Amino acid sequence: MKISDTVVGAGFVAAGALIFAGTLNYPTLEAGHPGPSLFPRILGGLMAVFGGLVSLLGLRARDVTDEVAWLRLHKNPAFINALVVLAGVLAYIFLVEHLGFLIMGALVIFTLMWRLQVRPVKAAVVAIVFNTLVHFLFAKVLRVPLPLGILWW
Amino acid sequence: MIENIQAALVMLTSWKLLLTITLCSIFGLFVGAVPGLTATMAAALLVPFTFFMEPLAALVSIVTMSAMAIFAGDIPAALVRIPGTPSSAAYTDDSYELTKQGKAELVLGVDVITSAMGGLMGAVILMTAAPLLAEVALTFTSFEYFWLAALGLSATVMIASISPLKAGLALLVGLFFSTVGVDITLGYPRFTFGITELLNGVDFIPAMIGLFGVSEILRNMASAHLKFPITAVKAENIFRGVAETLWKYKVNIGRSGLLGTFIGVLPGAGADIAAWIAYAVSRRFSKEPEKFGKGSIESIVDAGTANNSCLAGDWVPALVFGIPGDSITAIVIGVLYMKGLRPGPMIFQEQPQLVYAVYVSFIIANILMVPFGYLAIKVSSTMLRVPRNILMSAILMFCIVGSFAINNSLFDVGTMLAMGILGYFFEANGIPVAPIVLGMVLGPIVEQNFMVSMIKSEWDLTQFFTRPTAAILAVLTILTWLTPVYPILFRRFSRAPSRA
Amino acid sequence: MRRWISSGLILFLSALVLVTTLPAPAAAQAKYPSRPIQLICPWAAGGGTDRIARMVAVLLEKELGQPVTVVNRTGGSGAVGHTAGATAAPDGYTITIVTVELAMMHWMGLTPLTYREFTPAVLLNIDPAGVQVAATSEWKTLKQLLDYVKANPGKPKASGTGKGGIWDLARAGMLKTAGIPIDAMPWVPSTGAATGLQELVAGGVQVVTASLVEGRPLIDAGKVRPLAHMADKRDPAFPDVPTLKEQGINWTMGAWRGIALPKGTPPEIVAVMEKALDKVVKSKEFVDFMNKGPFGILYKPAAEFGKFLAEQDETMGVLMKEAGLTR
Repeated sequence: MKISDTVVGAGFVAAGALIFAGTLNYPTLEAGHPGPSLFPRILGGLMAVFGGLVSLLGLRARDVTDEVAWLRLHKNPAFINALVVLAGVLAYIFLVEHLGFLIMGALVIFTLMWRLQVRPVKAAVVAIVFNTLVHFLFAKVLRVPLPLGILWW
Repeated sequence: MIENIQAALVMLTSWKLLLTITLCSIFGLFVGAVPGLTATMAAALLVPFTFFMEPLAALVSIVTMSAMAIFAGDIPAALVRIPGTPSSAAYTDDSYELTKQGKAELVLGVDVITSAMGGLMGAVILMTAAPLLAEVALTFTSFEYFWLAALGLSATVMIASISPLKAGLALLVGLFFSTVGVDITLGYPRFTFGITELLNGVDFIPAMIGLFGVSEILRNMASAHLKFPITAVKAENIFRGVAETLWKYKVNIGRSGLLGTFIGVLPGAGADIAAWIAYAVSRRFSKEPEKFGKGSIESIVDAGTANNSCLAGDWVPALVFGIPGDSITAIVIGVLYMKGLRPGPMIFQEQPQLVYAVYVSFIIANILMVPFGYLAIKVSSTMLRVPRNILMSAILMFCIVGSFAINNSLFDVGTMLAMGILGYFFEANGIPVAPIVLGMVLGPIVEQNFMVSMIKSEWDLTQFFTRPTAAILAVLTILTWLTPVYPILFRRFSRAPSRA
Repeated sequence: MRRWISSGLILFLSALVLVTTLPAPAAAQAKYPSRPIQLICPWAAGGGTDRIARMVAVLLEKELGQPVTVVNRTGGSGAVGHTAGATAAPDGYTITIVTVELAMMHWMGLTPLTYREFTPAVLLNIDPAGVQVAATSEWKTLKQLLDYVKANPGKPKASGTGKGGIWDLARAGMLKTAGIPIDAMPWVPSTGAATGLQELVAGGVQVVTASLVEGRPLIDAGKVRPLAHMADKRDPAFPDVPTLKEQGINWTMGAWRGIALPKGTPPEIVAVMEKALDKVVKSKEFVDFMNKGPFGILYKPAAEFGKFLAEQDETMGVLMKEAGLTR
């Protein structure tokens, strides 16, 4: 996932500028002293300067983006694995309150293991046993209110 | 003093208390080793139980539990690169690098022994000098706190990063995250985009789990076909080579023990901050500074000693003046009140045995840490023999539940995910993630104390240098900051930094 | 391979179905309460509000015969937990321990949430603000302090919490009622009462307006001198500290906590809860706990609590406008 330092640096310049711009409407303290805006402005400014330097150094060193890797992404099984992780966590966030931890947690683990070539039966058993154990430890012993969803336990 | 210690020992040797200590040790080790469950949370979870406990048992539980938890946080940091508690974040990368080099036994052995030694040093200092230290701590104002935090920030630029510029960028990102939320000077909500959950800022525990843990999972996934780098960990010999290492760094242990205890004594500065500052100081005086961040056992010795010695120090202002030294002792103060005990100088006169029993329980807990820690390491290392594809899935679930448990909020699970992606892209481009966590820990202290100082002194900058303690800290900080800048200043700009 | 996958999926799903359908919970909706109750605490576990919440939970469990679990919904300076409590299903199974911030946050534009989104049940506690100075300072009475403030406006500084926090408003209200401009004793923000007290002892600020309870260990240690108490009556723990009212300043202010239900909860459920809470608050265990706390008890049943909330909201609004904190 390598990107050229020139681009990375430029990204930080932009981020710094955005942070600075975001503070323009902030209120000031008595007698016009800067208040809430002081630190974000310093940080944004420094970020832009550092980013600029990284960009310059990258340009001089002819640092380039690994374009081949980027273009081949959709064919890379490892990349799909990473996407499954992302999708799993996202699905968890949006569905767990409806389905409950016992179902959603087991589904996420199962999908991931299945994708990582664990035999499906084994994956299903491990997912259910492990997830129930986690639920018992966190929800029952530590009293973390894991969402119950459609279940009651 | 001697008779008080004897009385305390008699009080502590009832079978009921010994059972409590054992149970709390196991509880503490578990909580510390699971990412997202912190020592503070564990202490809070004990509160309802303390309703029904004797005061002594309640205090001893918290002591034992917190000591074990701070050590146990090192275990997942070394094994899977997820710090179990924030106090292990400073040297997570060093521990994990060494594990990848096949030195997991050494790391874990050093972790457990330095934790115990740091804890014992802290306890002895607590016993002998608590009231005196508390007096010193009370002279610290916002000026001194500002410099102290600035000293801690220097840890980042010193992390032997490939490029100091990129480490600096990472620190700035962390500092920026720390400005999110309600500002202290006017109560103005910054960068919250109308999201209620962001009013208190980005919670740094889910962020830490994401930056270290989730990014590591993503990298494992994205590196073709699950060739996980961790070699099988044999925990049989965790104490081999530990003695030599500790002897080599005996000065470091002494120094970091003292430093950690003193940072603990300062109200509001806890074990995580102690670890970062010890890390920075360690780098400053190291003969091999270039190893820091790439697997330096020295950094683990220093920061691992400091975070455990800090715990005892935290009790000093809590007992002497009722001002919490960290978030755990804030809970302790509540428990004391609930039990009809008033923290303050009176407690030393009215309940000397109780105070000494707390001291002695620190010693007992830290001695027990070695066998219990050994068992914990053994149990957790067997987990690593689980096939990698199953283990990774299970770790992801622990990350999710741990992030959720901090505030019982799904928003934090989202924070974890976002930080995981950020951390992955940063590291793919040679930007280290540890400075982000550091910036998030110390950012609020730097900013708040700077602004408070300015408001107090009506924007008179000279006071940062004219107060005696502040002046000493200022010189120390500026010298430390200049160390890495020197070569940069004098290096020709002809050559771009190399990249890994 | 494919066969394995589908059979695995089928197995997995059927196991799920099995788990979900086996022992169905008692279906009939019995008399309230028939299942566990959540008590939302908008502040972190282990803090003062949390401790009170946990004690209420233990005692309420005894009254209602159903488990009551405390759920900490922290974040957003209390906004997250209060919002979660107000927007929960109004079925009596989610109650909230509300704090003084409920009457303050919306004025600062932090959240649209106001007390009107809640059905008040009972007010439990108030910790009145105090006026404390360093033991080494020249001020022995409140009058000496206020005279100094009048003569040297802007010189003495006060602290104890963040800008716009409850102790800041206590300071502003005291000065305003005493006829002194609010900015004659400016506010230095701090992260809490403990930080403010530390600055006080170290000489960083001159006055702290946090509650006397918070300063008590330092008062005992001879480091801090209490000058006044912002309540109707003197605190029995500090019989020598006069109230503001005794000194001709008609001002009281304190941090309070109460229990509330989401708006729209059916009246019969509210009645059950009120009755149970009423018993809890009057029980010997609760009173003992609060005295040990030490927390100030201020009991007000639902109707009075409602009136109190409205008054507080208005007072805070006026003060915050004057202090330039509203948005």
